[in-house]
Amino acid sequence: MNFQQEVQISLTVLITGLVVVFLMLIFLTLVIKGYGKAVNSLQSKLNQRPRESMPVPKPEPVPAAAPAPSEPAAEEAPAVEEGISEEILAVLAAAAYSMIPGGVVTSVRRAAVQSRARSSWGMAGLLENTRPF
Amino acid sequence: MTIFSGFLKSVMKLFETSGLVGNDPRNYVMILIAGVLIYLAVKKQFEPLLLLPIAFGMLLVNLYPAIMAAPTDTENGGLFYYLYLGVKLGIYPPLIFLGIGAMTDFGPLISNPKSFLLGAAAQLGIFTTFIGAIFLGFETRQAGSIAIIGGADGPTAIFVTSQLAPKLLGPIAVAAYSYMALVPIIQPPIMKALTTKKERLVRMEQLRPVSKLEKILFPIIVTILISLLLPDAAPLVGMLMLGNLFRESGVVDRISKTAQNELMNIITIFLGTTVGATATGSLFLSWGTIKIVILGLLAFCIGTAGGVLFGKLMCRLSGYKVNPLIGSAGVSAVPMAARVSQKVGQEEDPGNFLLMHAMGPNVAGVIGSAVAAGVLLSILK
Repeated sequence: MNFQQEVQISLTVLITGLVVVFLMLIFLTLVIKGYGKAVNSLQSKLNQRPRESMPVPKPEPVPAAAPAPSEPAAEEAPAVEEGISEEILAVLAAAAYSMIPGGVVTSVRRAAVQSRARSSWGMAGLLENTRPF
Repeated sequence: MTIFSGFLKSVMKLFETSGLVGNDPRNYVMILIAGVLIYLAVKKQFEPLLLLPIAFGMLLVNLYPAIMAAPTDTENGGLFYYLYLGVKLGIYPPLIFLGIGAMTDFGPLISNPKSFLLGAAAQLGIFTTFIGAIFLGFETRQAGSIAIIGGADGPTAIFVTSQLAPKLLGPIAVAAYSYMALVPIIQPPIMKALTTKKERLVRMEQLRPVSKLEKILFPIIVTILISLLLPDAAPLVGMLMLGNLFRESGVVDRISKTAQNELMNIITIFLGTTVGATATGSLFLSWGTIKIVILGLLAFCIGTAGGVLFGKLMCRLSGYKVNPLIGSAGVSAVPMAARVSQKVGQEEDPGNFLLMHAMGPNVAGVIGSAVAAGVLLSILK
């Protein structure tokens, strides 16, 4: 092969190879994005349907004999913008647990401080995705 | 006396047929090289799953060349001749890909399909190395086989080489697997040289969750598209996606486990030993091998650089939402290259977890290198 032929074949393979690989993978990118959106919108529609088909419970009629006490207008709902504290969360969890048949709450204690090490779930995920071939 | 002379004749005949007399002196050098590779595999743990069988196959063939002999009218062929048919006929690499597909989670790629572009950019090493190989005097099919080392994918390199230049299988396989083991050493300096500190500190958004349906559709769609558009890549990509479908469907757990474990292990043994057994002294000890080793390194480096540079482009275009370090994971050394991206990123910012982001380009690189292999086969075969 002379120099000119070498240059010709080299550039042919370089340009063809890069163009074909990029075009194929760009096409795959678009297809995967497209079907991802289609699948997600289909699944969100399917998830909404059971909620819509559930019968909305009718509000109970307010008894006329017992007038509802009027609340002071100035009183506002408790602010939750700052978040619910851990203690309240623990109490709610304990209350929910006690409603389960057989559920008995004996005490509510603060858990031990977790070490900085990765949780076992995180470790399992890391190992799953990084084990060698 | 007759018995004694008969005894002497038998002993002489045994000696004359032994490897000590008939062996090419270059084979003894190969025996030493096999010893070094065994040391690297066992002691330094350089890709031992492949390097150990390759090294031992190399050792065996240089001690007893007839182990690879073809059958004649009067005698059967050697053991490795028959096992090697799986390589020659392109059977083993697709079966390895079946196992790889069964082990791979394409979730990070599906949730961020732009990773495909990084996988494509990292294949730059293949096509630029082709140019280098041509100008170093290799003919086109040999140059294509050498260039595929840049895909950083052992089965793909073996698949392409077995079809384009089977005589170079030994040095190319040894070069490919050695460089794959050296990814943690080769890549970081290139990654740091091509990125700024600001770019390395980029934290990426959490990946969106991927549904099971998406994961099941992915292998089917990829198989259909690539097989229709580039049929030469169909054996590799098809088997990769079949393995992945076994994994994601959840209904063939037994087959999936077999593909990931027993099948992979059996094929790895056969593939490794027979590929190693092609490395005889006469083929391996030549200037061509040295050129292959240099070109292989060039391919890896350019592939890494291509991925990182495209990552930089994506970083700038997205307004610093993409960390360019994940571009280096576009070489398909799974999961080593993704781990390297994670490690280099964490050197700058210990709280920056790039691993799952890098897995996207890493697995995209497997598909990208298979597509590149299909392109080379369709142009050069």
